[in-house]
Amino acid sequence: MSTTTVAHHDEHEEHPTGIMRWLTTTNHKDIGTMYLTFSLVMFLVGGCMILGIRAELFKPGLQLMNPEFFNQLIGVHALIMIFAALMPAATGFANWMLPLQLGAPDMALPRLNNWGFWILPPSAILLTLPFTLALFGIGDGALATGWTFYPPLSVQGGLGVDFAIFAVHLLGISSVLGSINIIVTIFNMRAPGMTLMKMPLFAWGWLITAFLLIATIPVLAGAVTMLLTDRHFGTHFFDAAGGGDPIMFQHLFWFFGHPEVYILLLPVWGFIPQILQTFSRKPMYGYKAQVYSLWSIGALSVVVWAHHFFTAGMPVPALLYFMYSTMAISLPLAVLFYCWIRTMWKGSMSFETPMLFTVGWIILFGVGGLTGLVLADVAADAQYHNSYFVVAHFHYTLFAGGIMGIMAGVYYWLPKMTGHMYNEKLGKLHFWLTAISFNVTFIPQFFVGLAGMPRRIPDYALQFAEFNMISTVGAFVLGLSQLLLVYNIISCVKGGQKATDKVWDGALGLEWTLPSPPPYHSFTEQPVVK
Amino acid sequence: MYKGHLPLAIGPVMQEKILSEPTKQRNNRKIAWILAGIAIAWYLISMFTIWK
Repeated sequence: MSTTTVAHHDEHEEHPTGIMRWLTTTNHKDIGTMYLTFSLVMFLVGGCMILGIRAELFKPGLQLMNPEFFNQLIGVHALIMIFAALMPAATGFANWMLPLQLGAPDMALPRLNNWGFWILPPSAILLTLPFTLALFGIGDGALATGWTFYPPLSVQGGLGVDFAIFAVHLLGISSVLGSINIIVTIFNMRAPGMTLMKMPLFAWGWLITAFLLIATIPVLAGAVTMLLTDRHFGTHFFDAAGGGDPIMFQHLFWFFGHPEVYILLLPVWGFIPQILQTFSRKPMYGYKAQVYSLWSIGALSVVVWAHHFFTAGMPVPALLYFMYSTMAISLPLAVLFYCWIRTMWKGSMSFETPMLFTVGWIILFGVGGLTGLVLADVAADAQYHNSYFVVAHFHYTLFAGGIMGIMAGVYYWLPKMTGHMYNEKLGKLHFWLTAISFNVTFIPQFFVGLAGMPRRIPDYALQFAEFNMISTVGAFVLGLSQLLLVYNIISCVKGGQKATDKVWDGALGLEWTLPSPPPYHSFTEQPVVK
Repeated sequence: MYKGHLPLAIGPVMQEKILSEPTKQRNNRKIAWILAGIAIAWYLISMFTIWK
């Protein structure tokens, strides 16, 4: 492992105060904090939406809302959770930690960084505003197409689709700006001696993510721009009646949509091994193998998109290609799983909250991966497509694999960010409530999906009633248990036991050489990695 | 040198780095513009490839 020399002075703490600090900041830690706060708020907003949906599904029949509003909640829930909760959380960590881990004074392009963040709140407002407008009789609510915008529904949909299209454009611009900044920072701002293969794995995860974003976001933007022209300017790109092809939209959307899954997961796969090595008190196993696996997964992720619509119809050779290429992703992923387990193997392990979330993450994300293999099978997918099995699968992937990973990162770095230790008992309670209620919510959805319950329908047949009831109870416990996270974060920001510089015994990396919290302008002298 | 209270002012340490390494800073901007160019071109290509 590399050793480092770091010097630090307490001068240069000067910065604007009040609201101007946050509006005009170019400081990577301030911007990281804004991303993380925004992400947490939107996570709660998106969570409230899904609790409305689960309340409706508590028993068969329509209880609380009409089907149109139900569909709107589903679509906006997904868009918010993906674009406004998970992605900003990973970007928040990137802003906070990449300069610290790489030994850089800030992100390479600090003003661009500010711009990238401040595009986000307006786009979140655009996504949710149609709900409010509908209350005043303007429009018919938010987009009711699901997050996938499939035509012809999206071509025929109301005002909410336009708002969502503009929101996606803005979110895309924000992501591309963030990606550019991260790539430049990683390539050009590393401390002397920090070669690419000495970088923390989190940097590798983000580097690949940033390239994936630049490769795929423009395609999504192109697709929804064409959707907009179909809706308002008389084109027929996706309108079969005018010679267009609705399936083409699905190809364009999922060319972005599938890599998006890895965009959400790769940063997490980057810092999870760092948490494992910290709490196993031994260096991570297979650093190089993990780097190459991350690249393999990134590369494969852009050539497998059509497995999301096997049932739309395509030639058999295409079906076979997309099936086998999708399954091929499990090979580098298996290498990652092996490395994660080997890192813990015979380690001197302790189970503080970040480690609990990490181990729980490995198990639950494993379920998400294995059920993904089932869906990758063309023959099986014909049965499972568009059922609750798919819903359960991608929540094991994105909630367990994404959000629980992010939670591990929050508990891991929170003492470093705030300078205070969080409440360990509350953290552990948060983990157990989250892990148990998550399974109570989503295991029943595998069963109802296998039995044929379709997704995105507010009513269902009587035989699915018990499993849906259990799932709803689980969802409410899961939702309420997140208040523990909010309380823990707020109390940690306000005060508590002082955190040491190197918060965790086994922690490795430049960020742990700085005080907790790090000074406003970190690394007043260039650290050197030996 | 540090105009800390002006909108979008860059911190003193980063500012020092930018001033002391002008070539690196030019390279940073070059890479950023190339990546932005790729993104914009890819956006246009993704639309025009299916233009009928």
